[in-house]
Amino acid sequence: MEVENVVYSHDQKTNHINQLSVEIELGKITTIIGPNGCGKSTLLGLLSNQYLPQKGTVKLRNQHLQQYKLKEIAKRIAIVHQENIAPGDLTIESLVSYGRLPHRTMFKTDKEKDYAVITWALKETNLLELKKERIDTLSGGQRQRVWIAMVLAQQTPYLFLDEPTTYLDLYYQYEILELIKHLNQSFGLTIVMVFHDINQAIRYSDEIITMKHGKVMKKGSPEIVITEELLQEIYEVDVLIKKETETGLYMIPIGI
Amino acid sequence: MWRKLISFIIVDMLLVIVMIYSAVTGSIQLSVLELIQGLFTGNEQVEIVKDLRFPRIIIGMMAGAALSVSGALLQAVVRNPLAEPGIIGISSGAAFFSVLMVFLFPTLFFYVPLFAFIGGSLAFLLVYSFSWKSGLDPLRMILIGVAVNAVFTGLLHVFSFTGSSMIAAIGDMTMSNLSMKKWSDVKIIVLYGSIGLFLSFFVYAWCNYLALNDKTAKSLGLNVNVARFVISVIAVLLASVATSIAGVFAFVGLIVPHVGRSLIGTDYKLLIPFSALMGALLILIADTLGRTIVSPIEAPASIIVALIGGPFLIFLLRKSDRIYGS
Repeated sequence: MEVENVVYSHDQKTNHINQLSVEIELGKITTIIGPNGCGKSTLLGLLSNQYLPQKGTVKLRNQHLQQYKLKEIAKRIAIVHQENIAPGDLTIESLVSYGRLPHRTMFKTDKEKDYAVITWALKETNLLELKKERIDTLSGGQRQRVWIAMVLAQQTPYLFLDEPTTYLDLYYQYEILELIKHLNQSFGLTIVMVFHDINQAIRYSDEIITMKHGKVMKKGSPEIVITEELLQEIYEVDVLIKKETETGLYMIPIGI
Repeated sequence: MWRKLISFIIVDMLLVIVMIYSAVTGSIQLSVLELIQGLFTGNEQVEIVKDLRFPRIIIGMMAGAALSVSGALLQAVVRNPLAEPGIIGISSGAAFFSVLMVFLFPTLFFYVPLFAFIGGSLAFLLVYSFSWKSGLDPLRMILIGVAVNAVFTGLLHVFSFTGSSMIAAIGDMTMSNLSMKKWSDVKIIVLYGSIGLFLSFFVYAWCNYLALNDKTAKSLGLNVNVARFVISVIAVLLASVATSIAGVFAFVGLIVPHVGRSLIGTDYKLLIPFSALMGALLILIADTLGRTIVSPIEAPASIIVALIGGPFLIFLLRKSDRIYGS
């Protein structure tokens, strides 16, 4: 996907995305990081057609995103939003089946295919045994896996996640991250995430996009992008960056 | 699963029992056998029952079904368990427009539901557009609905006080009155009501998707605005038709879907038919009680609905602290 010279504003006053151009590479895990209000989630929204750019273009396979029908986009791009709600008495299986919506039409439903895909999505997210459980009986980590299972059922080449680990404790955070990595490696899904944790971003991304004030500061592999100078510039926090054989690259904030 | 099936069976059975009880009870008492014989052979008393009781039974049931389904649909559209055609002014808007149009064009009686629909749509449009800016915030929406309802109810009272003979002819629409209903009324409510109910069965999946965030529904490929619009039109149609023939029933559209959710869950595939059946049952019981309990005085069905509905809702809310949502 390509984003070219996009300008976008939520309130017509300040530009939340300002003349931004960036390319999302196929088959890679790309993570967008930056301070609060830098436009990370907005960029994800533009990439997934939640927002329409006021200037510039977002292209998917060399075609403008707006030219696709909603269902055609939903067959190519799936997104797990940060805030999700569903009726508590819904079973996991039913919620995951919602992911088949873009593949259904009013009169045509391929039940066998749907069932196979839903089962696959449940299996990959390790929810197969729980499929008859109600949503309101689940833990936060399980619930996040359900939302991922739902978008997997869309069978898209692109998977976007907006802060997928924010409300989770450490174990569930890494469970979700390992799942995302597995989806990327086993099925070649192109993944774009928004994140706050820089160390997780380093560890799990092929590409990191750093943003500030609605612009891309730098894009590239973690080793290239994550430097003490850049993080100071973006977050205005002094950090130390270390590299050890057991841990790889990591970052520790030391003060402001 | 069993709970759902049993709920459906019980409501169906109760509906049949109350229907029969309602047909044979009142100022003219019949036995069930006499009624059935009379229907085939013709009998003076059964003829009277056919002309007086059958219409109100059918109208009561249709109105109950229509209002309940309307409430369930509106709750999906605005993702708010308090949305109800009575509370947010659709019913009073519909009632006011029917009265106005009958006053201005008395000959167009058969088209009253159409005018009611225009009035109901206007009321809903007002509520919807005024609460749009706040992102359809539930509390704000209800408050605006209360205001819109107050205005239309006020206008309706203005008409009642002018005491025109035309208005007297169609009765006081602020309170439902199912007596003196004719087969011509039955025809209208059955025709328009069944269209609305029939259409509502096609939108259950949309209602389910709308329970997710708008963002999520949209990224699944659902055109959220189109879905909202279509469901709203059906809901307003149902409420308007019911109001134009049976008068304003507050509460039905609120309480029936609520009870429905606690018995059979939030899935609209079941909730819509269940609400229709239970709404029909509720108004039928209310009307039957109203005309038999203190006979020969008739208490309007809407009052009985309020008397049964209020305490029952409180009982239900006490029993479970789950309201609706995640």
